[in-house]
Amino acid sequence: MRVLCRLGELPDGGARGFLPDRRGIDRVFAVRRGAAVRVYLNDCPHERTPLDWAKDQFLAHPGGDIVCSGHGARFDPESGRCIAGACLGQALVAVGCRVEGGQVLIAEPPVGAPGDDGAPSGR
Amino acid sequence: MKIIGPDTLIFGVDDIDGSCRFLTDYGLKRVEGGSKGATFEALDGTGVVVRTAGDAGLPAPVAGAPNIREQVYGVADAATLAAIGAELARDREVRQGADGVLHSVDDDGYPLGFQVTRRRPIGRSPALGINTPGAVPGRAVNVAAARDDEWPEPYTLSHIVLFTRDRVRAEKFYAGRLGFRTTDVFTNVGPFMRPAGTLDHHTLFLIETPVKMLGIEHFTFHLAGPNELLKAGWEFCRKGYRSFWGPGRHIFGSNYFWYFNSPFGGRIEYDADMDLHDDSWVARHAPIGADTSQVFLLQYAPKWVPGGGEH
Repeated sequence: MRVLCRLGELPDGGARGFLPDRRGIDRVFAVRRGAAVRVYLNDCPHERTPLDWAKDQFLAHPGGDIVCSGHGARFDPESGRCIAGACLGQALVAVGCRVEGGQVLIAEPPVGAPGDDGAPSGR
Repeated sequence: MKIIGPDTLIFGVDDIDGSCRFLTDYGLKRVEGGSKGATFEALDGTGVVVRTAGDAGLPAPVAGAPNIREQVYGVADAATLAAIGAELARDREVRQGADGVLHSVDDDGYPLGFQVTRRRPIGRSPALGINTPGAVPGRAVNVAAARDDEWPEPYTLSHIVLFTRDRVRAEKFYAGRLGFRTTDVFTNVGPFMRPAGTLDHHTLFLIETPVKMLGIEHFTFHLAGPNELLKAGWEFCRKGYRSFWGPGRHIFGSNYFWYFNSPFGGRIEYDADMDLHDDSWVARHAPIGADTSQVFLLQYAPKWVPGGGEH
């Protein structure tokens, strides 16, 4: 496991991207609700492209669903399952994580993280 | 039926502040706004209206928020507006708002508006021309073309791309009921269409998909030319927005393109230098693929200079 960030660096109800590739696209993002943190690959199951429209813009609104800014697919922040849109029934790839001593730890390296060439992983 | 093209796209969104910041950074000018939304314009007065998804004044959505809530087409004159109203009233509800805009829906249920166009003359001198060997120079002697302080502005709303349940039915609606022409076809996807009041290769492209994907695929404004497209996209990347596809050049329409993720439920594009066609044009047919959709494709990279300090 490796340290992703301190829990306090994740706004409650918010999301934040981490591990940027050379073009600045974050390869994973973390979503926090209270003490619960989930970490997913920044990789929409529909086209295998990043979900955010700008740095840290992953959610419909603070506390809301995860929304892909490609075609508006919505995901449940807790399970990562797509609940509406292009990839309905599919899910984001979760990265193993736990909160320990005020720090968010993730599996290293994130399995299946999009590559560092800046290209969508599916193409 | 002289429909010119989309005057205004109206979106219902979750994040008003983020959406407004996005459009300002894209290059559109905010002309009114508050906590419930705002209106943004390109140089000719075409533009985007952003409203909260729950706004009771918006037509019912086809897809969950954020997404397109109405396409308002500009038409040539009052006679065209009356003809559209009469045509659509044959099989669907048409109502006229206090502002004179006719409201109805297409066969997928996408809300449509029609108004006598509110486009203004663009009022800009043309972009600097190109100096091609052997040809008349594109700009005057001693005019230096490269400028780092240039901020390209969107000139006019170009086109919208929508997902449709049935591309044959949708094409028949826009062609048969509203007078659009099909300019080219991706045979496994859908048609590029232009209304009768413009020569632009397309103001509408339709993509057949399962119903769960209904909604907008992307929308875009024309910039002055490829140089302005590259500079606008470059600056948009530098502001932290997420490039999705481009810069590159399409084959159908010949337009230069650069697509970005957006908070509107579909992507946004910059486009430039689209082909013009009249009714003598014969539509081309090809399956969509990497080779049929673009002449070339490049990718954003941060600035860099060779030499490493010791040339």
